[in-house]
Amino acid sequence: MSDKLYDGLFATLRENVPALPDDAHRGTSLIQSGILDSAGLFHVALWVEREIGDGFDFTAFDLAAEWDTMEQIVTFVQKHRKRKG
Amino acid sequence: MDPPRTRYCGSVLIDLNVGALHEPVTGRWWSPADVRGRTGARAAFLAAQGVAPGDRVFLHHGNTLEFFADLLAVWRLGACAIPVDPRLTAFELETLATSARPRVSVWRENPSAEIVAALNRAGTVCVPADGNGAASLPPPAYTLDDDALILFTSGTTGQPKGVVHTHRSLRAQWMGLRRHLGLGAYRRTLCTLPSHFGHGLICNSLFPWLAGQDLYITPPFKPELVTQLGRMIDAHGITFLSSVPAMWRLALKTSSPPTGRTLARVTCGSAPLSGGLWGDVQRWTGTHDVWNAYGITETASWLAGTSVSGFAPEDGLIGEAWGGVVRVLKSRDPSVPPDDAEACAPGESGHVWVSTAALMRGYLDRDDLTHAVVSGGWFVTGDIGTLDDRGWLYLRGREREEINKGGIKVYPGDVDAVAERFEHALDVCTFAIDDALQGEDVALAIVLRQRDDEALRALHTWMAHHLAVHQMPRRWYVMDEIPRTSRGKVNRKDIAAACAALKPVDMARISRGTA
Repeated sequence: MSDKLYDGLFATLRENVPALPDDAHRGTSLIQSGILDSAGLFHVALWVEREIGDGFDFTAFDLAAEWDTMEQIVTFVQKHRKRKG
Repeated sequence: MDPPRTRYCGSVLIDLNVGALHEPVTGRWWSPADVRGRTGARAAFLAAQGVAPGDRVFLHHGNTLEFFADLLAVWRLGACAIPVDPRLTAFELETLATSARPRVSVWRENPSAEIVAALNRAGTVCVPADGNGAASLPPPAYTLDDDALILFTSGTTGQPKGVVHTHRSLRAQWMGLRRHLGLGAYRRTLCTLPSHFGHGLICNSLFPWLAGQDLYITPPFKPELVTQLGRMIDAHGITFLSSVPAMWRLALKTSSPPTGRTLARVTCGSAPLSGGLWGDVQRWTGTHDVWNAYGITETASWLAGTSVSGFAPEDGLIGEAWGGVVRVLKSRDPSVPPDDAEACAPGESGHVWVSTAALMRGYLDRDDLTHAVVSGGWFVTGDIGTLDDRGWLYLRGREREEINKGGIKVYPGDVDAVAERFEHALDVCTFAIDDALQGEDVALAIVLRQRDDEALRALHTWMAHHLAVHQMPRRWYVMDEIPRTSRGKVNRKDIAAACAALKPVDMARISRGTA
């Protein structure tokens, strides 16, 4: 399950984040490092919304802190899928 | 013998009646007295580097306290400032420097050796943003008709198009805005837009700040700032900010709204604002005074907006002129004097022309381009619009060839110019694709002599080396041929439609050499 999520997230990042380095991995800092710009974050949010479901309230979270790595983003999706389920 | 230069001697909106400058992210701030001291020290430093009246200076350290002090120092010395997008490649910087011939290039962080070499080849010396000279402030060394600011809008890969504003056109803009909009709403102004961008620099930042209002400046494009926008507004009691629709799409999705109800006014510009998004921004900000602002670099940005009573958000609505005159004419031909041209009837679509004292002096060393858009003091904007029977302006489209990527304009010809020089390229066409956040993004169709992964990887490397990251195509299509009209011209919309039926190249996979 999580591998599928990583694949989907990685594809989203590859398409929308031109500064993503070739050696980016699950623990690479995306926001604090400056790799992810605001356009990239928006596309990640759309991907998360697709995975969790429409209508999710992102404003209740500090996304810059909680989504700094792919690992954190995938964990966020898994956690909130469980809550919804 | 030249006539003596008339020195400009202080008034409102002149360069040192400034407010405080804040960097909310770092916590650094300068009082107006700090700014005056810093400006004097920097003017002395730049003069020691050889900067003299009539020179040009590249400023690469936008959205910082130091940038604003250097801007004032450059003006004090009678030189012309050229704020530069820090994302430009060495190739693009050399192209601009060869065109503008700046005396020095100011950097807050050391530029790469490749960039230093590129600028040196153009005769430009790199200097730091932290060197100071004696702290006394020199008397102003400019006249109103001296060049003050050049903003490059396109041509970073070929023939640069630099919009030249004089001190007179800039002051006309700020005085017109002050007369129409007042200053009350701008007491604490936030700018999240880049300061190499006319909207961010001339209107969002300098208009309030040079009139004594406090300016809060952040780095642009930082997602962590957008997600904290509501908190930042509350923490600093922000009364005004301007932005672009893309920023609002992200902020509405990821940031809690402010609760302090300090925002008195918000403007949004540089890209179309839908009525739906507009209403959402009103609700999020807690103010009805969310205005759609219309402007272009050539008119020193804002030239009209929704400062009209009783408006409701509506697609395309702009509102009234701010300090100039707007007409909608049937012709866009500059050889027909606009005063004599036939105007469109209320509600009828036509070409938007403006007459404003804030109009640029012209394009840098490109009289041909200037004459194509300026006629008898009128400027043809390249936008299609209507005036209704109340005189309110609506925008209905544009005829300018540009890709509006979240307010930042990318010119297809600039991308074409790089792609067509790729060794395996036979034909190219850059065009706009829809984007959920930014409205539009960049796509490239290319015909290749060799069309395997190796060639595509080399193409990606070539483009990334020559183009700033915001100009890089997001989607790539390899075609057998680029369809052309009977006159041999490329219709970019037709190519976009043709590519919509094709599968794009997975350039992300290919460029990384992964299976």
